[in-house]
Amino acid sequence: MHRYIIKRLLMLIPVLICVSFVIYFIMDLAPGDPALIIAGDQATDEMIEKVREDYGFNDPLIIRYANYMKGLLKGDMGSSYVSKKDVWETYCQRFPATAKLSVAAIIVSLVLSLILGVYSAVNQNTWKDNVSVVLALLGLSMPQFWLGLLLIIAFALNLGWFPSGGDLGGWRSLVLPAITIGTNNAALMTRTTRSSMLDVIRQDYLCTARAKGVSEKKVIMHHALRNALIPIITIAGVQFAYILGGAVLVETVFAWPGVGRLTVDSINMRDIPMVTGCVVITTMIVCVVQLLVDILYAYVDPRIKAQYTK
Amino acid sequence: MFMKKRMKQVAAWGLCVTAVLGLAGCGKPAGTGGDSEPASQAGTVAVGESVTGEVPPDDNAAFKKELIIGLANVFTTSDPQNTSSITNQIFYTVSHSNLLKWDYDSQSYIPDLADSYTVSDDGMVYTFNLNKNAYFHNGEPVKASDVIFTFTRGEEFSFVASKVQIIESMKAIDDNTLEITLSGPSTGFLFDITNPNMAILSEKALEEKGEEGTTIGSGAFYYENIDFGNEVSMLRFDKYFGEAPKTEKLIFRQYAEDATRVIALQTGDIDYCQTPSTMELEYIAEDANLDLIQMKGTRLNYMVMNVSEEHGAPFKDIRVRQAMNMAINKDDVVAVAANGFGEVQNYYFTDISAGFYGGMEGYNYNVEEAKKLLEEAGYADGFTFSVLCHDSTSRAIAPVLQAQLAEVGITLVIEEVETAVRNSMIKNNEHDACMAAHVSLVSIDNNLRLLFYTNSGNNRMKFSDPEFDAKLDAALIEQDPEKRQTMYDELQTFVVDEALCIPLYVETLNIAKKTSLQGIKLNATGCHDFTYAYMVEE
Amino acid sequence: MAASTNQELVSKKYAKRSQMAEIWRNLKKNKGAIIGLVIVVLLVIMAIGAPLFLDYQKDIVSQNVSQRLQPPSFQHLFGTDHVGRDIFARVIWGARYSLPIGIVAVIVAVILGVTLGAVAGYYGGVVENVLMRFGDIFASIPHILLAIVVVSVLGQSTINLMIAVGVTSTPAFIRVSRAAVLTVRNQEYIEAARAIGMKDWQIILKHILPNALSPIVVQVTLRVGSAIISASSLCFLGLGIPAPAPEWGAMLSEGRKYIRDYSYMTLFPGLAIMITVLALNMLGDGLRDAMDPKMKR
Repeated sequence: MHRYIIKRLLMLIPVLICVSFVIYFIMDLAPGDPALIIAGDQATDEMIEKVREDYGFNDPLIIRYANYMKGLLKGDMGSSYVSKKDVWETYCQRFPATAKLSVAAIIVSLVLSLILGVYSAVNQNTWKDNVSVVLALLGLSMPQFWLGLLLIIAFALNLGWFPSGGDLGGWRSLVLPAITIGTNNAALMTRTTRSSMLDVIRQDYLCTARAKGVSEKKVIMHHALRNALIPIITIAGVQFAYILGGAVLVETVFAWPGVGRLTVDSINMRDIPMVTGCVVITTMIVCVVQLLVDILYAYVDPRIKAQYTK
Repeated sequence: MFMKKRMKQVAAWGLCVTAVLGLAGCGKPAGTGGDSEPASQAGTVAVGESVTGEVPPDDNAAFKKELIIGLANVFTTSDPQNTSSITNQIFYTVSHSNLLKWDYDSQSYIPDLADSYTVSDDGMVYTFNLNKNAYFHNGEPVKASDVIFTFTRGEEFSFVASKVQIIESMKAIDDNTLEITLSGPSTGFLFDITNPNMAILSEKALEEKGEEGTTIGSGAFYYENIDFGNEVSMLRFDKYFGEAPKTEKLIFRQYAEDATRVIALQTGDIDYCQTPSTMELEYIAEDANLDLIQMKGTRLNYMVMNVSEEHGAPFKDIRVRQAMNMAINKDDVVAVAANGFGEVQNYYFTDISAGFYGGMEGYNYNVEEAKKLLEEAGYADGFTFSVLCHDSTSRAIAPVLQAQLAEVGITLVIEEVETAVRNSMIKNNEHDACMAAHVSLVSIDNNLRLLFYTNSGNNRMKFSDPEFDAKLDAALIEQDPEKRQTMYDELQTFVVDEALCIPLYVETLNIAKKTSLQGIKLNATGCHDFTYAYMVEE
Repeated sequence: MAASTNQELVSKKYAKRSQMAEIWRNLKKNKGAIIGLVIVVLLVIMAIGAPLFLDYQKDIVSQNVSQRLQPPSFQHLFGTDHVGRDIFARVIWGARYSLPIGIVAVIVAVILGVTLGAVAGYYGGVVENVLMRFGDIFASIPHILLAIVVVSVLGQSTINLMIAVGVTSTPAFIRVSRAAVLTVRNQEYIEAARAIGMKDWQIILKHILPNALSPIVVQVTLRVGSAIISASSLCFLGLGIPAPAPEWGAMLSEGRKYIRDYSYMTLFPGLAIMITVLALNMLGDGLRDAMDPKMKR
């Protein structure tokens, strides 16, 4: 197991190199000259040239990237072209908000999908099944920014239950954005819950339990669900990782100070170190979360643990 | 559309700060803002009490400790010298001090860091006496050497360089006395130093902390926490040399989504809402707790046509440009893009510019005439061109122009690009046309020079006419005011007649806030001063 | 399964046509899937048939400011937008943008993903390792960020939007097709094909991919929906299709300025997206169940 974890962690190194190179390279290809942005639109040609010199824009791409990597290996992700602030620091400033929102969102998804998934599995092939599946799909089918705006109008403006946006501390400002993301992810997790419940539900040991006179409710909640949980946890982990990196829309609609917005703002400003830094760190976090899920998985299911120790 | 009693029509003619744009070669503007425009003419009108804070609060009133300002745009840099964005400058107005301030109400310079100043008879040597009680946020006293340091540093930044290039030399006579010698007399110099770009920085802070040191100013508030693109909090600075603000903490939070920002104001999450969506003004006007203030803006939206030789047809031909101007029904543009909150205009500048002339006819909506001109120019079947759109305003305007131009057979292709791409394309002369906005500057010379002088930064038309340049240069050094004005009138008429762009409309400036929020100093450019904003605790 | 009548047992012995028939039989039992299928077919008909009733210039893009922001009525079923265009006509026409965006994006993803996945699965070893790691890396970059970067680089246009969305869906197809290939790679008929001297690409194309078809079809159905959503997200961020194209996402994000007073401007394009994605998902889920032997209980 340890060897496996170490191997996976070592795998992060090529990931880091690859992702940073791809993003750095793509951003460099992007139209729009960062020197113009840095120098401002009234800059004379000499000023723009000076910026190019100072920032090394005249060097070939490979040299710039090599310089960037040199810094990166020393733990220096460079600083933003626009705000001049350290990339790592800026990211860290934003990350807690993202993490908080992701956790809240995944809880919403889990609760929704467990309820709908178990309910539809128990009532397989009835209208109840169909309705719960469609309900789960609704969140997925609505563009998130639209759902978010509707929720703000309904629950912040008209009912006044929750704040309209911003991370104001406390749980109340989390509710609406978490629901927006959570319902979006619930569909996939409901699907998984349903099919893994269906796998388990007719197995012999459940019949045994039923035969022993355990109530149906208890059979489902205690015996079936517990065994169906593993695939659900896996998929929740994957979803969690995605939310961590890509809640741009919800962050924009709810004025949520997360890393997604930071990345998109930086892309618009052609702030190459910031964009590369954000995407690299986010990707690393996604990978680490996935590793954690795998480890968790192994603990829950001894059969899998056995595989790793081989 | 709707007119509510509560809506305060502030025709206040907040003089535009040169804020927005610096400019190369503004040696001697034809007069600064104040001296030629009588205040009564523009109407120092019905400025609502909430605006200037004319109704002072009770002496023993308690004030709310923190105010939350909801911004539409991002705060991108703490360095006042490195930006021309109005949103950024809102911050520097609060955090930094200049040598002098321009007071819009009295139309005069008032002391800021400089208690007083004297000008030599030849108008070349300015002596500033700095306030002895002025401190930077790091505790250091503000010294003459800091000013020298700041202006010297500014030479590297385009926005400041254009303002300091007239400075021949600077000398600190003692810590509190500064002597600046210009290379020639200039009436524009004093106005330039009131610009947020010219805020005084601390030499020591920059030496110690590098770029980070730009956050250290000598303004009424200091930065507590800066999270770019999200939230900035500022605390009251106890050693501020001026009158102490009533509020302890200012929080600026960005709500990028228009709908969310207005709702945040309605639900009370924020106290002030920057640029509310014109669709939602009604809600603000109707709400007893909220105030909607409208004032005439200074920002003209226009469409640029690339008229350069290299780019060639079709816009090289004046008939085509005239036809384009005549094919546009500007009323419809305002109705759709600004929901009616704007003033249609046939020229480029507004009456806040000293030396403004609006007597020319311009081009009015006339489809028949437009078709005829196109036919004469050989474009009876129209042509296709693309227009760069980079922000929400241009995205709102362009489709309307697209539909209207289609009526005369011209196909407008909307090319949505990010600002960075747009600027590169314009710089490299790769555009057919683009949407743009111009905030009128104080002097007409600055305006004309910025937009139409060969190779100027905002000359997106790529217009180049040596004769025009020569005339503009001649007007700048003309000593006879009457003659000078005639020259400027002619030049303004000339650029309109040439139909280099399609001027569309000037946006109304909408200010939405809680009724109880008082003491904001409004500014027609949108760079409002929140230093003395306060709310009385109920 | 109760349906194992004699006839079916017989038909099972025959080639893939009967396999399709069985999937169809399973699918027919799933009401949701059938509803989804019907909706999808209707949408496709709507997209193809729109030009028979509507004129792009006259009905879709020409503006009439005097008629702006009219609420739904008999004359304008869905009302009119901020420049006086009929929203009903635009939503109908929008199918001609939104569906192709989803479909082409997924075709891009299928071509890239299936090629890489099949090659990885077929050759195994180093090739597989390199390709799969590459896929993993791509998959770990958050989709929306990747799409934004791609659109920023390529510039905004319909084609580029399709490419951006397509690229981000690629990893899913790499995984699915590799897994499918792995299951059949070592079977005897493949070895037989090799023995008679067929080239690798022929074997992959003729013998392996057809067997991997069903999971790919399921993925395609589901992914078209998410591609439509991704496209609308890009519109929201100002990276979508330029005006005046009545793409649903573009209409939705354009209409959000008016959401409080004129909610129908967002409601109808929003519903169009919702119904389409919902239908595709119901169909996809149904297909998955119909093709999954585990579900036959």
